[in-house]
Amino acid sequence: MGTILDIKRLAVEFHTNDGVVKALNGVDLKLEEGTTLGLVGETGAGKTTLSKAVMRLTQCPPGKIVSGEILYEGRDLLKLPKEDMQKICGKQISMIFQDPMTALNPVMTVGEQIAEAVRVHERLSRTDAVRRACEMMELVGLPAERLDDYPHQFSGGMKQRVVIAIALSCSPRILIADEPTTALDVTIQAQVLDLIAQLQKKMNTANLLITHDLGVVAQTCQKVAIMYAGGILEYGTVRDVLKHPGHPYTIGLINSIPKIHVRENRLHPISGLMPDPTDLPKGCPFCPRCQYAVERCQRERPQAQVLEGEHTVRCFLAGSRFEEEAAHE
Amino acid sequence: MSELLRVEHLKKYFNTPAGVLHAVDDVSFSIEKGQTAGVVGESGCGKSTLGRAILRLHEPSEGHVFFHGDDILTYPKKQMKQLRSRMQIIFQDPYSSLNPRMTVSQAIAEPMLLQGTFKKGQKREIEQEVLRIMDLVGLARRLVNTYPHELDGGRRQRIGIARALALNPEFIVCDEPVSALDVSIQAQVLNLMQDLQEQLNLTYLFITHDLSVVKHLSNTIIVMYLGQIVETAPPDEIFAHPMHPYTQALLSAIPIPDPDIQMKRVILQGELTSPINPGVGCRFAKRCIYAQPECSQQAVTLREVSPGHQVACPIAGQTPETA
Repeated sequence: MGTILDIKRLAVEFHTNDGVVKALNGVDLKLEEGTTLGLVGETGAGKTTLSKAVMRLTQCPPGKIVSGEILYEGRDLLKLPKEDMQKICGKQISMIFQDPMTALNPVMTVGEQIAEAVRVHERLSRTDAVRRACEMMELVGLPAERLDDYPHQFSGGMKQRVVIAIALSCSPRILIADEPTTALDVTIQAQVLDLIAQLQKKMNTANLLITHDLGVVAQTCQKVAIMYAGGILEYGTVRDVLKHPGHPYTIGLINSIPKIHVRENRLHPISGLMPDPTDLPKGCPFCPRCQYAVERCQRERPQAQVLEGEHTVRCFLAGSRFEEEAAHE
Repeated sequence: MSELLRVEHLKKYFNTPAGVLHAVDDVSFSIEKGQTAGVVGESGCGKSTLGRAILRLHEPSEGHVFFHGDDILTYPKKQMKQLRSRMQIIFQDPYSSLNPRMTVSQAIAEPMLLQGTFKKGQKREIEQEVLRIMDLVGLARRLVNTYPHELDGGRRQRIGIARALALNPEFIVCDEPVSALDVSIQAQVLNLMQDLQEQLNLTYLFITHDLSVVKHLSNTIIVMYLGQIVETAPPDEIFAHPMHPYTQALLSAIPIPDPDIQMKRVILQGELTSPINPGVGCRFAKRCIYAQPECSQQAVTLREVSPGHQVACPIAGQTPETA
């Protein structure tokens, strides 16, 4: 399986009045053809900044891509001329945005919005584009006769399906889905995830699924990257990361999820809050919240180390006894 | 234990240009003092409307709400206002439910001033009470003069909780209080709410779309679909033996964070029945894999299948259990 998207040492900053927000600090990430990679992290981890950088949607100013490369089929997307990028965005790399309430144009019918994407990229006639829009509507489970309705006439879940229909209308090779099901109900989420999975099989798309829900990752992804304060802390196959988490943050994250099959009287949250992105700790970004932190963690930023196969962790203590302690808790 | 709240045949209909929308349609249940009822359902099932109708934030169309045995729907406005200090609500979105131009202390003091707990001049007393409540909900005292935009979602939700607690209520409607929060913060807030319940003997109506969130908090779980209760049971019972086909589908759709558990998802097909002028039959029938022709023709009512476990499905128990 080849790598279709290779992100190397990507660093993005936002220059604001309150100082420089270091949103991404040297992110390395590979997306393989035909697989789904889950990118997991909490609010402010930099997940959306990463996906927007891939689409070259980083707003500058205040945003600035400081360093790094994003290689798609060997070409660095960050260096492409704007016209070439426009041909790739929406056609070869497509994105499902997080918030369906704001992602749609309120004064265009949903049919026009789906047809617009097709007409821009595939030079179809108006009638053909509308026909494709009908197909897409049915594909995502919306009645085609609602083509002429406006976004406000749809529920949140339905709007998100419209957004998905737009993203998939040109059969992209890479689909970046930024929390595609967060605003949806679980039964609808199941439908949408199934739909994305089916489509992946049919068209061999590589999916980058951004989510905060480890359940979604376990059920739909092959690989997973855990992100925190602008860096990838852990990467590996879903089984490796969820069954044998190597980073204290991943362990904390797994412990804080309410589990439906286990009887528990209390949840186990991670204490503390995310660090301020304008003032990141010098060493490991998770250090202030980490119960296993040692002195070295405050001074140095850990490099990625391989635990086994593809499973890498950025933690000085990885593989040491803290994992056993954590397992006993 | 005594019954704190009893809801009987509560209905809330909205008149829309397309017809009458049955948001809450004949809902009955009760909560004991100090306990939690978890109301679960998908968007549009009427769970928020139910919470608001109980507090008369939406005036119910029909039915009764008994609080300590008194039907509060008969209360005149003035009496209702007094009662509000005993029945509070925590809203879903801590980003839009706080006034951006009020500091933390103003936001927490506002309900006390409105209810006349303190007069405007009693600055010292108010300040002390605000600080006491901030300690209670785990807000650092140094944040007392900050504005909501300076705070993260978890802290903002703590302000929402603090506002609800400011009047020493007995009963709180929690309308998706953690849905907008990250999991690690969500766990912090859920633990806080659990601690407060024990400390202050609070009674919760906990509304959420996420079954796993209410599981360990609730004494009873109420599953709603299109304005009606389809199943109600204690959490362990409902997770072990979901009887209604909708509950089964809902449970099977929760993604489990374990790659070794292969989910047998029941993917729901078909269209949602419109809550506008619904027919007489089961509202889930169009999406139900076990539906019989008569399901859409006759009204379904809740029946008890085992102690404390009620289900509104004529064929429940004859269908295979998927869990």
